[in-house]
Amino acid sequence: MTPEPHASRPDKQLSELLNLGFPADTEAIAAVTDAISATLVQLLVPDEKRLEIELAVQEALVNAVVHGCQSDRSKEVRCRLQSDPQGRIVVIITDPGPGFNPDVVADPKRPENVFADHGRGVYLIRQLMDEVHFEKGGNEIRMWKY
Amino acid sequence: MTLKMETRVVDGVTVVSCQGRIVFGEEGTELRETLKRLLASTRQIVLNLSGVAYIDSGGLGTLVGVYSSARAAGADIKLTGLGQRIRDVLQITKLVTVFEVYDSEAEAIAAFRRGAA
Repeated sequence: MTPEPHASRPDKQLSELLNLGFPADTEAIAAVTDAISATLVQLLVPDEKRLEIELAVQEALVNAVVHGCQSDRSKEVRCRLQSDPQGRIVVIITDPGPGFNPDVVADPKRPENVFADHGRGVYLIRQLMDEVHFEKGGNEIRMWKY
Repeated sequence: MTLKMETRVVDGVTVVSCQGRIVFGEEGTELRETLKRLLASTRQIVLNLSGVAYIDSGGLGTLVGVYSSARAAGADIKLTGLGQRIRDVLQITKLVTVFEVYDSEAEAIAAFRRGAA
């Protein structure tokens, strides 16, 4: 059975496990991914699933810091970790930047892009997570792992 | 910084062993600078990633960029020590078709020796 999409699921059904704000600095990202990982370990999330969530979070946080905030430490990135009653995980990352159109991201697997030194982040997120939604003009990403 | 690197020479091949995370930021920059510095004096590098638990798209971009520069300059970088997680990421991104990957450091070094014979 294919799980129903969660985009319109009311937030009141979700339990908040973490809600972290941090300055837009790549050096601050490791502490956030470590906190996410520690929480997933406490929830007994299987290793394989936990590692996929961690990498997706890393990618989304780098995008928020570098592209959303231009690594401006005066800006804040927020990362929230929630679970639904079935134990499925959602990570929500928000930045105050100009946003972007996720539909125009180039396919990094195309021959002309394989040797590029950037442009794999959104693709990896989509491969690693079960459901990915960009909202608020690209300022917010909601990523589900079942 | 969460990446440590140790460099040694084995049978004329420079082996760089990495430990930690290869991610966007200071770690990726340090890896790029280390490899560029080594490529100024050697054409044969084995990158041993057995101590790397974590690589993100920024780290992949660093590897691809340095690899491309090395090949253009007549040098080569071979990979070994890839854990399942890194293998999966290389597979997902199709980068497994770009790099030469060996199961052991000895095999990667031997491949350079065969090429030189």
